[in-house]
Order: sequence, then structure tokens, then C-alpha cells
Amino acid sequence: MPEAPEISAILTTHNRAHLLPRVLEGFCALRLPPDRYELLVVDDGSSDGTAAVLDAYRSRLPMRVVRQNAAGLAAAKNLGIFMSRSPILLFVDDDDVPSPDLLTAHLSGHLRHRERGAIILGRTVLAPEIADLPLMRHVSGAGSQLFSQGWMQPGQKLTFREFWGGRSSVKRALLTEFGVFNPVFRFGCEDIELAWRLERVHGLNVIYEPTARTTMIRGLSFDDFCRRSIRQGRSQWVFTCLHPNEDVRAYCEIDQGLAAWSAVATDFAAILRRVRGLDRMMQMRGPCAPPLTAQSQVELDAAYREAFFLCRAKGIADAARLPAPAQPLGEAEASRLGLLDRPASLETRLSA
Amino acid sequence: MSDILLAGIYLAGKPNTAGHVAYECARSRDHAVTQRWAAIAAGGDGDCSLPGTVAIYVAPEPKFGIIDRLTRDAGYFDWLIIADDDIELPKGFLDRFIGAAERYDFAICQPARSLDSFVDHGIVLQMPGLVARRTRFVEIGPLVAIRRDAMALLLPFGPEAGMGWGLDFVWPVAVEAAGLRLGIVDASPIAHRLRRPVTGYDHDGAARAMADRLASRRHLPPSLAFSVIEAYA
Repeated sequence: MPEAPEISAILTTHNRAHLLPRVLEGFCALRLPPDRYELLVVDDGSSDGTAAVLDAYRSRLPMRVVRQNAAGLAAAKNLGIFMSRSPILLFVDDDDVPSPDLLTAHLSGHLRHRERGAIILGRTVLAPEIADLPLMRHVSGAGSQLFSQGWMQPGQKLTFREFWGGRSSVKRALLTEFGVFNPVFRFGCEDIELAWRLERVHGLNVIYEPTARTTMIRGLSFDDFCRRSIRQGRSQWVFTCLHPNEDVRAYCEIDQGLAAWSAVATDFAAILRRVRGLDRMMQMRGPCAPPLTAQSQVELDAAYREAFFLCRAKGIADAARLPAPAQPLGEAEASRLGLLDRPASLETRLSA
Repeated sequence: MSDILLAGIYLAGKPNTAGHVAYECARSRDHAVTQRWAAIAAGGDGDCSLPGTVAIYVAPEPKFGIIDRLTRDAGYFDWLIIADDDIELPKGFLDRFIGAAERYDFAICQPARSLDSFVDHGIVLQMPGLVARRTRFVEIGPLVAIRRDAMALLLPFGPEAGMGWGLDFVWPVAVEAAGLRLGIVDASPIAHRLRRPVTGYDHDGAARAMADRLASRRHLPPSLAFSVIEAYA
């Protein structure tokens, strides 16, 4: 029987056929020999050319591909967890290219931190072609909405808040025995919600390892990021419903979001229009334009920050109007829902 | 059409969903279902009038001993389904569940747990992107289906089976050695949210019983048991 690989990279993907070749080329260039790792691709119901792209790399990579009907990120990751064959799992996004040492750096981290609750958080940088986009600079820098890691020190111990899905590795046993992603999250919060649970039931030790590097190659537009923020807000509301806890509510900024939305909902479209215009103007400045003054940069960051926070607030407010996600019931609640068929009612129904 | 024996146990003195389970399974269009229920009525209290009740126990009895007594002739059926009394089944459950089990050639299988269920083992949580998956683990409850060829390997459970703790790590060794397949059906998830698992039992006793069983029987460790071998979308 072939030996199990030492690490499984779990790449979840949905309709990113145009980006996958660069990502997979990155795996082809890894320094770790192919017999020591597996690349497990979970295709979350892609309808573009993803299958053909993956087929083209089958002979070049120690790759397995599994397909599910589109069910979201958490469900795809869970499938990857249980199909993996290694004791260490690394979650990789489909718009991030691995550096040649990515897997060795994660393995090294786990060799140094052998405890089951150790999680190694890698570093993600922006590809040169998107690093200068004003919006990308904001969300990965001053705005911290994407992955702002400038404040982290190598080896720094972090909390559940930094278990970031597409750049973290974890012991398989921690997840299979103590908790997996909640598939109710199709996008956003699935990682932090799992880490929040794991920290309570087992204990976590999240460690920053900047040599485990990936490069994000997908530039997001202003409207992309607005949509992303709205979805994130919805997930944050669900997170809060599942765990009615002050820490979670504060982390998700639920009260600030609801207050902001009730104050400015009628101005929302106008605010987005204004910031979208600013974003366009910034892009049109081109590479030859002089750098922004410090004051202009601060104003631009504030405008982006307001727009994306309001989008999250909209997501929270939208979700708050929907029924709360279902959870295990107590007996009294089950009785009210009529779920407790007594023999008499069964007989009545059967005779009817 | 398959002949199915449903063997269930319900707590007569506690709120339960046995009637709902019995009703949903009786509605099968594709299969002939024979139901046998045992009521646990501590001290003789409780309502034991569920149709299909064939035995009433007034003192505590280990679950798998009762199941053995309900299933002495199980070998005459195509499938044996063992059900607890605290689950909720979706409409059309049995036909969808057994249909998938037969399509994917599972000899022993369970429905996935709905996302709002109490879950002890993450692998049984519904994978919403799948119809079913071949696994190396099937939980002893709250609902498990055993095909006739696997019944020949696993039944009777014997007096030492007790409440069944740890059997789910022993079953895959026996079943896979015979070239049979285990699986979880995601297309027919059941809710298990009425009672938290093991609340009615002694935790330390359960852990001891499980350790004793695993020490004396060949079994899979969790690292191997919690695996999906193939996924079916």
C-alpha cells in the first residue's frame, strides 16, 4: 500500500478556469517532491472550463479531483478534509499562487509545533500587477478588509480571529475529531466560526509563518468588493445567531452595522456612487501620475472604508430580516413545532 | 422492491418521535416495510401504544440486546433498519435513502445528519453538494441500515454489544474484509436535534465500554475511519 503523503493541499474552486493555470503552475514549481504531498482539488460545481484545465495538469501533479454540486466553500472544504490522506492539511484559495517553499514551510511549522491545536498561518502578498490598484492597496493595507498582515511578527501567536481559510494549515485529526466547517456558510465566516468553536472545545495555537507564502493574482473591482462585503455581512449575522455570545457579536460588529444601516440606508446608493466614482478616477490616474498626498490618501481610505462597512451593514440588516438558521431544539420547542408525534396522532393520521 | 425490517426502540415515558418515524417509513412506495418497535417504560410508566410495538421493557435494557431479540429473523429481509426515537425524517425518506444505498452498492449505511443536528462525529454531517459518499465509518445510530450480506457478518450483535459504543469502529473492518462497502447518504438527511447524544447515558461508562470493545476487537483508528473514499454528486 502506498505511503500516505505528508501534507494535503486542499484547493477549493468554483468557476476560476481562467486563474487555475497560474495556480497549478505554482504547484508544479514546488520544491517538495510529488511523493510527499497531494493536491486535492474540490470543484464546487464549476460550469466553466475548470474540468478541462484540471485534466491538463493530471499528469504533472500528484493531484486528485473531486466534484460536488455547487454548495459553497464550507461544504467543499469539508469534503476535502475527509478525502485527504495526510496528517497535515493546508487550505489554498483558487486565486493564490504558491511559492516554491509553501508546503515545506507549513510542514516545518508543524514539525516545530506538534501539538494537535497548532495552526500555521501563512503570508499572502499581492501580485505586482494588482498591488498598485488603489482598491487592492486599501483592502490589504489601511482598510484591513482582506488580509492585512503588516502587524504580524514571524512566530507570533494569534487567536481564532486569524484562522484565515485560504492560507492556514492544520492537523487533520483536529478537524475530523473536534469540528469541521459549518456548511450553512457558503461564503465568509466559515473559517473564523470553526476556529471559535475549536478554541472552546480543544484550544488553538495559531502561529504566523511568513515564509509560507502565496501570491494573490486576482484583482477585485469596487463592485466585486461591495458584493463580497454584503455576503460577508450576511455570514456575520448567521455566525452571531449560531453563537449568541458578546465576543462574537463584537467581532462581527453587529450592533454598529445595524445602527449604521438604519441611519444611512436611504443614502446607501449615493454613497456607493460617490466612492465608485473616486475609485474610477484613481484608476484613471495611471502609473505616471504623481503620488497622492498623505491627506488625499487618508480621504480615499476613509471613503473605501465607509462604503465597504455599509455594504457589510446592509448584509447584516438583510440577514436579520430572514428567519434565523435552524439549530438543535429543546424538547419544549420541538413540541411547539408539532414534531413530537404521539401514537394517538399517528393513528389518527393513518386512519385518515 | 426490497423487503425491509425496521427495528426501533422508544422511550415511552419521554417525548419522542417514534410515531413520526413509523409513519414516514410506513409511507414507502418502493419497499415493503415490516415494523417492530420495543417500548422502554421504566416502572411501567408511559404510553406504549405505538402501532408495531411488539415488546415492552419495564426495566433498563442494553439497546443492542433488545435489537437482537427484535431481529432474530432479519436474514429473511433484504435490509434491516435500526432506528432511535429522537430523529426527524424528511418526506419520502425511506425510498430516497434505500434507493441511494442500492445505487451505490452500500452494504451498511446511514443518512447524513442535517446541519441543525447534534453531531458527535463531523463526518456524518450532511455534505450538501453530494448525493452520497463511500466512507469507512457508519455510526451505530440514530438510524443505520444493514443489507442482508452485511447482516450475516454483524448479526446477532451479542450480549457484549450493550449500548453499542465503539461498534462503529469495528464494523468497517468486518465489512471491508468481506469486500463490502460502507456509505453515508447525503440526499436524505435526518435531523437529530431533540436530545443531545449521550445525555441519557453515563459518559464514563460509555467511554469505558468503548475502550474495552476496541481493545478486544480489530478496529479502525479515527484517522482511518473518518475518511471519504469516493464522492457521488
